[in-house]
Amino acid sequence: MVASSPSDDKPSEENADARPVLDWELAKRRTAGSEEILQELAELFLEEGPKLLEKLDEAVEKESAEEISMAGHKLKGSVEVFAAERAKELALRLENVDSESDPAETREVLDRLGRELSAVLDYLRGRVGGKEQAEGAGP
Amino acid sequence: MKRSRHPRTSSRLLVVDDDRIHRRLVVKGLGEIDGVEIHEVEDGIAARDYLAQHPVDVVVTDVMMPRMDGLALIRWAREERKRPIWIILSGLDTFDAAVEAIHLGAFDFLPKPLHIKRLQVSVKNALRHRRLLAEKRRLRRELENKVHQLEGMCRILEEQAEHIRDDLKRAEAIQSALLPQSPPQLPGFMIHSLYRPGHCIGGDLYDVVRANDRYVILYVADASGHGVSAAMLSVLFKQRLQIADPGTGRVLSPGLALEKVSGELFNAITTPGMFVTAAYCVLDLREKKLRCASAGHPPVQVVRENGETVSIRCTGPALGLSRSVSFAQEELELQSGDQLLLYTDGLTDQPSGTALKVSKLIELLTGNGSPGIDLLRRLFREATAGTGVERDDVTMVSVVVRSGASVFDNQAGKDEKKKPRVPAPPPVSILFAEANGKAHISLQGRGTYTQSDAFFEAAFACVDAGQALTVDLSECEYLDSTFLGTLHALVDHAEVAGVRVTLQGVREYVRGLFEELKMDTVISRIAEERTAPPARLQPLQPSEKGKKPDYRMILWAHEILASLSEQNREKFDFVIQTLRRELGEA
Repeated sequence: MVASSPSDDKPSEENADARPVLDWELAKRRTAGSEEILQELAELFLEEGPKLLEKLDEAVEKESAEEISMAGHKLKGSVEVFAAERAKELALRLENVDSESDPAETREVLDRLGRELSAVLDYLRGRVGGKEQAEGAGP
Repeated sequence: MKRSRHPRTSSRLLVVDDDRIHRRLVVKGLGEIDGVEIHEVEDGIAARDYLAQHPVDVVVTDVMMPRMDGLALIRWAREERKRPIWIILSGLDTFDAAVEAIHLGAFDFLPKPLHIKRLQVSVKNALRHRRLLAEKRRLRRELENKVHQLEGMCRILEEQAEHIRDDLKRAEAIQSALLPQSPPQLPGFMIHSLYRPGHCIGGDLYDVVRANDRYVILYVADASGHGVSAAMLSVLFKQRLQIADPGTGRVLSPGLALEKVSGELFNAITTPGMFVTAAYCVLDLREKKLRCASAGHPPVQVVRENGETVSIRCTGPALGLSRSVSFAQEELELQSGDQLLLYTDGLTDQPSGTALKVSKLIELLTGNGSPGIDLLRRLFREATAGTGVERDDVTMVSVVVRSGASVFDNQAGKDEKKKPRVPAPPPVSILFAEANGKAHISLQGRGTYTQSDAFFEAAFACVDAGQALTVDLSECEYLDSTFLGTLHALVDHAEVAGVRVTLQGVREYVRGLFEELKMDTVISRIAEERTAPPARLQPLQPSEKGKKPDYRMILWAHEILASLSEQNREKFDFVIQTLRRELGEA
């Protein structure tokens, strides 16, 4: 399920990470077991996630450390809700970006976050669709 | 932006977070709480604008947000909008900010990622806290109103009491006008009297009347009860008493006079428990004889010059108790030098103090060289030494078969009555001294809740500073339960802190209180030996709160006592429940 690319600079690190893209059950515990709430949040994130990524992309393009940090923080908060650990860690790296950071490295982290995020979104789409299916398949 | 779930009676919550996902999670979680209306905004500026326009009960806010962050928002609200209670959402990365928010007065902080159950608990607690605060304010206002009303009532009562005192003074003047003002001059006889009512007015009465050339009537009477009712009863007695037959003008014998007045009183008095006792004598000047009858009254004492004594005891019941009674009478041939004393029971039967025993009375009568008015005054002093405001009336009439001047003393003890009323017992004084790294506290008088906080502050400060503390109770006569609870807490606290607290000079009564309340730790700190207090003891000022009782402290002290035994728990349960209700605690 993890989207990985053999052309990555650090394929070994990424490939070695066997954690799931997110932990739906853990996230559900935080919504007090409510599948419904979590699905609603997933739907919202399907809209919001790409926008947040776009904002990050613009900030990286502008090489504005402050904007990168702010947008990274916000994205981190969102993916955290779904217990998407790897995405969270990458967002945190962007949040920690400052004027000293290497723009090339920042870009690389952003790329990895982009791939990770699309995996998260895929997963969530599956969940939301699953709900629709489940409802459709109901007795 | 706005979700209205409930009408305006509900509590209003504001959610502030720039992260839509997280904000939705919070709103969803809060939506499950009953009776709340939820509004959401995406940063501090929007929140500030909303708070400026609407009353909000609880704000749940993120820390890091664009434009205006959570801390800036709380700082603004601290000055401008004091109403809301704040709950902070914070990840580990903003933990320091969350701590600062708590310092700024935030109610709680919740870690991110948020768990909605925890959020719900926190918000419910915040709402309950708000309600308790409001309830506390309401109760305080109510209490202040009540205190105000009570103060007003007290003033009215004091004014009324002042009126009553004035009235009693006038009544006293009228009553003393009923007494014989000057003694008849009788050759070969001295007749003295001494009259001292216990309150302003009393139920004692006496008279000495020269009925004709041959007979003198003397009596001493005592109406049951005290104060105004007794005084009125004695007036009734005087009004109904006949010393001579109205038809023939013949002087009535003592027995007959008492019999008639008893019937009159019985008819006049309809209230039970009202009666008059009297010793009634007819002195026959020509025959030098005395005839005497006594209606439930202390005996008439006769002391002869040779030391022989005679007591003329009751010859019938008290007056007014039954319609028809008869009285025996005793007759006495008088000899030169005989002394007779008629008196009321105030002389031998004071409710407090050292009452004069009858044997001592006779001894004083026998042993006295000059049986004049000074003897009666001395008897009065002996009989009333040590009595307080509750002294009973005292009346004496003496007849001495010897020539001399007679004196009636109705002065009603003017000097004595100028004594101020017994002042309220002084409250405890707390004296404090430090010497050689040790502290000493002396409690003097009665220790009550009004000073327990001053004691608490001083004593706990010593223990917290690691100073060994001696509490001297040798001048302390009483401790109330709040003080006792505070003392117990002190000893416990010192034990934990490893600081030595010693109690000394504990009086029996106070030790009894410790024992009754199972204050074993306190008892274990009592030293048998008393060390002298340091030279310079300074009185501790009661804390500013001193005037108003600190209910929280009273509650705390009672809870401590209640924890010591099941018996204590039952004993203080009512107080604790009441205080908890007053203070709005569950």
